[in-house]
Amino acid sequence: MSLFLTTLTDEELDPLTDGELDPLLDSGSELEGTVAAVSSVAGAMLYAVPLGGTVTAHATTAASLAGAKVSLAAAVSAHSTFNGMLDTPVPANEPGQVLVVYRSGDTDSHNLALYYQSIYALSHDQLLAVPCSTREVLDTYAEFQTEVEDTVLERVMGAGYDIHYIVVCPNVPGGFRDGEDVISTTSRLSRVNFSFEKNLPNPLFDRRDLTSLDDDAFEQVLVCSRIDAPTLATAMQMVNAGQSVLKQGTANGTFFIDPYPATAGPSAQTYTEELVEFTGRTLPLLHVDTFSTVSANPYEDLVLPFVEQDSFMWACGADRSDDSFFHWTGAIRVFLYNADTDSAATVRNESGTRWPQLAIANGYSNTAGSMSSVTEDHYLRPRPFFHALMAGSTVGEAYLLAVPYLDSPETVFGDPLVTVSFVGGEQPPVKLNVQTGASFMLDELGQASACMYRRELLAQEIRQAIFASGDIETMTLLLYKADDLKKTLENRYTEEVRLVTPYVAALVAPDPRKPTSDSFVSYLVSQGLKLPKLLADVYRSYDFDIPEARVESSGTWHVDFTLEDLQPSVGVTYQFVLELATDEAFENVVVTANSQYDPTRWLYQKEIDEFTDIPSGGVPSSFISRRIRYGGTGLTLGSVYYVRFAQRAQGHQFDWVTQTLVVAS
Amino acid sequence: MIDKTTYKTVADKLGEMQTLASLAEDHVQAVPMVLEDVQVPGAATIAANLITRTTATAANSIEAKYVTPSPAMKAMVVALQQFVTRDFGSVDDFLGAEDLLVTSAFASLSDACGFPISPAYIASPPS
Repeated sequence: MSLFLTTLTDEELDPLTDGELDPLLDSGSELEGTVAAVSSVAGAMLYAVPLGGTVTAHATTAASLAGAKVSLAAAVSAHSTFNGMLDTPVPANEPGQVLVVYRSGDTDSHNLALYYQSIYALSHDQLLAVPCSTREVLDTYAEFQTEVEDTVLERVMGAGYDIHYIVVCPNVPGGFRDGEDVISTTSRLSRVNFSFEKNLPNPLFDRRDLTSLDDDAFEQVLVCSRIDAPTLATAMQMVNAGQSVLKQGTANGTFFIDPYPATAGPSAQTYTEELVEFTGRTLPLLHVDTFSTVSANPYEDLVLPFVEQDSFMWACGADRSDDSFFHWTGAIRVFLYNADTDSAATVRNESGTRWPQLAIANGYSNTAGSMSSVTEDHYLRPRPFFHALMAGSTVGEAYLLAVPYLDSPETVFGDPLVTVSFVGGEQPPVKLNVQTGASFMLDELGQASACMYRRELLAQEIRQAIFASGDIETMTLLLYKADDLKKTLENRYTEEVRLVTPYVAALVAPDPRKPTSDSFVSYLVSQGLKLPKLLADVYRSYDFDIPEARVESSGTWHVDFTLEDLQPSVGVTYQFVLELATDEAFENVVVTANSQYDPTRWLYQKEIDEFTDIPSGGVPSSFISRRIRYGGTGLTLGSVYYVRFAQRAQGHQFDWVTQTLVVAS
Repeated sequence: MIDKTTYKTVADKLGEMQTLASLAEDHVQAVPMVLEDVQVPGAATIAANLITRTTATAANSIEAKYVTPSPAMKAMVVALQQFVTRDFGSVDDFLGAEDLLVTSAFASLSDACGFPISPAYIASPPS
């Protein structure tokens, strides 16, 4: 058993004399056990939170509180993992921006709040009592507003500091009914600054440009997590598990994953594909031991038999289990998620068999689930979750980047400030690799070459126009000057671009000090790239032997646009339209394309170094800042075209974005 | 004297040449911006630095030789505008008489060569 002490100031104490400590003080009794370590705080009034009868306290009368210092002795369960771990409080990530919400007049709820306060040295202003019932699920949103939301909103709006994290303590309602659904408290309070909009697509979901929440993101959402359990002791154990993770810092257990759900259908298949992709692409970056189910038969739902020496579990298994599933572990248990329909319906049932409750009871610091039945598209996604953790984000941030909907049944449990690192873990790529970067540079240099080439053509055309006028005087006065202009440009289109191209080849060479024709061609082959003709000419001028197979065919072109965040308050899926015209006014449009009706030739930068066909459903706003590409053939080398591109969502077409294309092949 | 069709064709193409010079410079300058988003391995640092340096040289060269009108370009523009001012007094008068509008790119070029054009004779860019 360990003890953790904190001292409340007079100011912090004052509100407590208004009756909030009465349930404890009125007991006026000494509980069994030893308080020697605590009672040495001379003149202090002591009280303690009894946990399983292992901790003691002595309480005086309320009158003795006046002007006194109070020490809170909070007991820690005797779980071996936690022995001695609270001797030194673990620094939190953003304790100054936390609001702890507890149930007014509720000893357990308040004690958990005080305990959390003591760990992170929060000020009294960061605790908020809400006048709510003990019902885990309220009947209506109106009830939830009265009992929880209105009070929280008032504090968030008037706090005088930015609240980014809300911790909901035991016995505060976990959600409210809305038709057949139960909307979780954490999901609603994440959007407490906004009106309730059931199943709002999360604007931060799977954002490829975010691995943590910045100020703009916190304008959209607040991190909210719930700490609740059948007993205060178990709730505190969850907090302690979080501290254990923070103190150890590094995930040292196995990652158990089951990507194969019991359900069938397109949504389940999509979710499985995402989990399989996560298993192959992201999981290796964590450098942790992995145990995964293997799909041998699509009609058989394989499940994880148990977990042991585990730090993570992400599964699509049966929606109930029991404590026997959790074998011994000496590793920190960080996050458990089972994608099922109602695993978070309650965490207050003493004999509960739902996953979050089992996770909490078996030493996991954080877990998540749904409070009522949802479809697969609501399930938490592991890719953004673990990318965020790898980037050092808190579990609370990671959850918000991984949950597809807000104002929804999904909920998260545990200390949201928990972070974890991975031994030898690699950072997921946030920058382009040199191969992709070089391809983008070659695009730019190809366009620069094409612009210069076009200038040469224009000088010729000017001369031809003067000659074609047939007017002797015009030709006499202007033809000589036009000839001069043309001569100054002839065969000069490679001059400037030529300065740069060797070093792009060096960038992608196995030995950047010795770029060769072979190494550059190998790069082109490995990337499936073809050079624009004009750029191939430049490389050939350096005696690079660029084979015709690595040169774009005549008239080939493509353009890239950046996916913009045009509806920042909500997650949407975008389709795209593009027009290519010979004139700036787009009166002579020669190419039109709409990804919704024909996704052919449309690509998007799905991974940072990988372009993929646009799905028929469009590109989610999670890919904001990534490139959208469209291309074709049939244009004329050196011709100028005007291309405009617009994003479409929910039947609305946003503003055109225009760029000039000069055909380089 | 020069017919309006020839004048318009020559003026538009000269303006387009200027626009393309700026566009070429923009594309070259975009290369080091791409590089900022690239995870460059240590061994390739020198190559990356050389890309940055040579793109700056290339962009400066385009700016000096083409975005700033070259002597040959200036001579062409001057010859064209002197041709029309000989008979009309000013470029504006010629454009007004011929009911012509020039592009903003050509107007800037003409201005740089000592032949300013009033906004009334400059076509608005498409919205």
